[in-house]
Amino acid sequence: MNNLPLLLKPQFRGNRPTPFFSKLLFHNKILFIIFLLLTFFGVIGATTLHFILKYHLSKEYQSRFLTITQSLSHRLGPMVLAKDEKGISYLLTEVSKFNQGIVYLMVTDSRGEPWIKSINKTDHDTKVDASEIFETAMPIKYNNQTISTIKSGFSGLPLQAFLKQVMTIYLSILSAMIIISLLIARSFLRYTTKPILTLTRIADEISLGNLDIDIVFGQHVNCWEIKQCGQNNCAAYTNTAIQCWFVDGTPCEGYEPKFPQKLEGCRKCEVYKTHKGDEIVQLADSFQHMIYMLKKSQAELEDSHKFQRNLIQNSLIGIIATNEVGIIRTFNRVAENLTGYSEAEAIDTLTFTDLFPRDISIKINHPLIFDYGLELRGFKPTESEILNKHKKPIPVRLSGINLYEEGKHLGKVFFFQDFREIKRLRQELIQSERLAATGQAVASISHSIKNILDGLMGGVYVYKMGKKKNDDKSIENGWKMIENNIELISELVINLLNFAKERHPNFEKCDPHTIVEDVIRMVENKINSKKIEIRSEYKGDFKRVFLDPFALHQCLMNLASNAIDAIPLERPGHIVIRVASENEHGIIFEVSDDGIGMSKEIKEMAFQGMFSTKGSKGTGLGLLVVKKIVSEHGGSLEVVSEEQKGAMFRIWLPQIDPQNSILG
Amino acid sequence: MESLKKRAVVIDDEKDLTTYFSSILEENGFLVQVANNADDGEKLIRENPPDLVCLDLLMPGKTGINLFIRLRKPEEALRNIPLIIITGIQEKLNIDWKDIVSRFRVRVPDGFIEKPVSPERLMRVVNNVLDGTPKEGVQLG
Repeated sequence: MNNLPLLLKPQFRGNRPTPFFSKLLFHNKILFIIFLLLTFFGVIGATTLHFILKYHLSKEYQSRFLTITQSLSHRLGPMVLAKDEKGISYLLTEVSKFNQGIVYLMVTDSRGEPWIKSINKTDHDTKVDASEIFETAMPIKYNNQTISTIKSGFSGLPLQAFLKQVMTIYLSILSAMIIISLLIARSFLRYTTKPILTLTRIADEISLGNLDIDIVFGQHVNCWEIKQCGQNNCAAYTNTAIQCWFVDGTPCEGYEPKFPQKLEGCRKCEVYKTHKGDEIVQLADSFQHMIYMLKKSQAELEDSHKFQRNLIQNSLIGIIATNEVGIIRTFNRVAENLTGYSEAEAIDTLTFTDLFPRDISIKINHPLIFDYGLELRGFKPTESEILNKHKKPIPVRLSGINLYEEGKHLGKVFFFQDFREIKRLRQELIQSERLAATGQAVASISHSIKNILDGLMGGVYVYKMGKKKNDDKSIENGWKMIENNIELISELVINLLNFAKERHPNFEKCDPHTIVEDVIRMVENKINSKKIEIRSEYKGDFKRVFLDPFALHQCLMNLASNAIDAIPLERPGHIVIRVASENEHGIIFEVSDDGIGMSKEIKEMAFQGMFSTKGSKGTGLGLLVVKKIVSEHGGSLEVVSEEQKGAMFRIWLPQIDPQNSILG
Repeated sequence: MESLKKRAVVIDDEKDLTTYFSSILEENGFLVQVANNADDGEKLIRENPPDLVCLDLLMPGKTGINLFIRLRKPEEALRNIPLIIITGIQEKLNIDWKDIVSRFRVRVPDGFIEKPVSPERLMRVVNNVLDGTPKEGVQLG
């Protein structure tokens, strides 16, 4: 998505809201501005008109009264000369009567004193403010001689009344015009903002998740007509349901094959330009593109969700996932079958602690692995239990892990397998192995007893023959054979007891020297005719050695006997018993010989028990007893051997402090 | 008279048993030589081919089996010396003369005795093997 050139980097510069203005609807805002503008210019117009009218009318008014005064001064000359007071008074009164606005007309005498004044009703009716009176004086001449003066006073009131009338009419017309303009503008704006409201509604629908909206803006165009192409194999050809720029794979040249990548090219195409209208249409187009993309990603998301749910639901492994506080949010089919809870019963109701043992809530928080520097907490598959609906534990193989996303803890997930069948099979296997082992042991022991029996029978026979023939040598030989085989029986019995008995080592402070030397002394008796040199080596400090001396003696005896048996009669051999202390950690006992050694195959079988290569003499018990004793000590037993080159058995025992022993 | 006695070689890694078997055979008129390992036994047989060989198959390092195979190979000159196998059964190693015979295409032993061996059983098989009449199969003790 990021590589789409048509997508702008989102940049929002929000308006700082002014409380009143921001609350207005868009068209009201425009209406408000229109109103303010009209009012502003109307007021300016009114003021200008008033000023101009007043200026010109005042001038006209004054010149008119000057003319009256002038004409009176011409007519009054003979009358002043004749001192026709009556005539003057009548003239002045009559003139005043016919000219509204005249406050007074007065003729002065030669000294300038008022002489005759017009009788004016305004004197009585209205009180005229002196400041609103224009006064003029003009000489009354006769034969170019000033004989008197006429003074006149005019009121501005009629002029003002007229102006007021004119302004009233003007303002009325202006108001009417403003109202009409606003009404027209309102209708127009309603028409233009309607698509915005529609788009707003669509945006609301989209935000509610409804993407099945038809947006029809702008002119629907038929590309095949505009381009006059005959590509009838094109999916957009004669397609009136959808515009060509939404159709993938149109064979138009120079465009990307798929929407929305192709849109960049389409915007330059004549088809798109024909369709393209005003900004609203472009906005609607963008909306349509947005819905297309949303639908696509929604479908992808749904598919992915369905797939994941399917995966989880149909997994043959039980899956239970919780949110960050442990409440179950995912509960798959295996979980349902195993626990008896339905998905609806479990989700949002149960927590993982309702289903798994208490220790799981601790285990799940153990550090497990580091993944790209992030420490994952959880536990590997382990045998555990899950509680079913009836609180009955069912054995499962369980693993769990904490889920994180960008460092945020999302929850936990548990995976488990029904372990009942496996457990049953394992039990059966153990049972059958035990039976097989018992059978094998019985076979091996009876074989060994048969050999000893042969020896005893032989001894008795030889003894008897010696007695019969009075042959002392035969008597001695026969007796020795009987003794040897009695010894073999006692060895077998001790090994059998050691093997069969469940025993804990009796740890006590002891000296390895004593044990090893005693073993050497005892096995030297067995060497008989073989040419074997047996010696011991010690390395380290044995001041604090805690062992079960009896058990260790048994181990070394068995290993040393094996070593003797491994050396062929016909050649000399060497056996070394080495003891080495390993600091405070443990102690090592090694028994090595240069006998016939073991092949890989024999080495593998050596520890499986009841296996012997010693022909008639072996029971296969010896090494098994060593292994058992070593494991009872918490130690380990290993063998290094090569055919014909000898063998070395190494026992490692940990240093046990009997005070803190977990084994004792 | 000594030279008329039949000669037997007894090979077993267990000294007690060679003593036992040789005593029985000597008691029944055999001149017995014993060996406690396969190499010594083979040497005795080749130096002076006896009238009877008693061989333990189970000796350390499969030496008993190898000696049996060598002695009974088709091209071996001594393959017709009567041979009795005396052995215990060791199941784990699957040592069975029948397997060996079929795997290595060697001559079957003339007799077979499973331990423990009583003097009577041993002598019955020995006599059956050596009574001079040609026999089909193996004389079992």
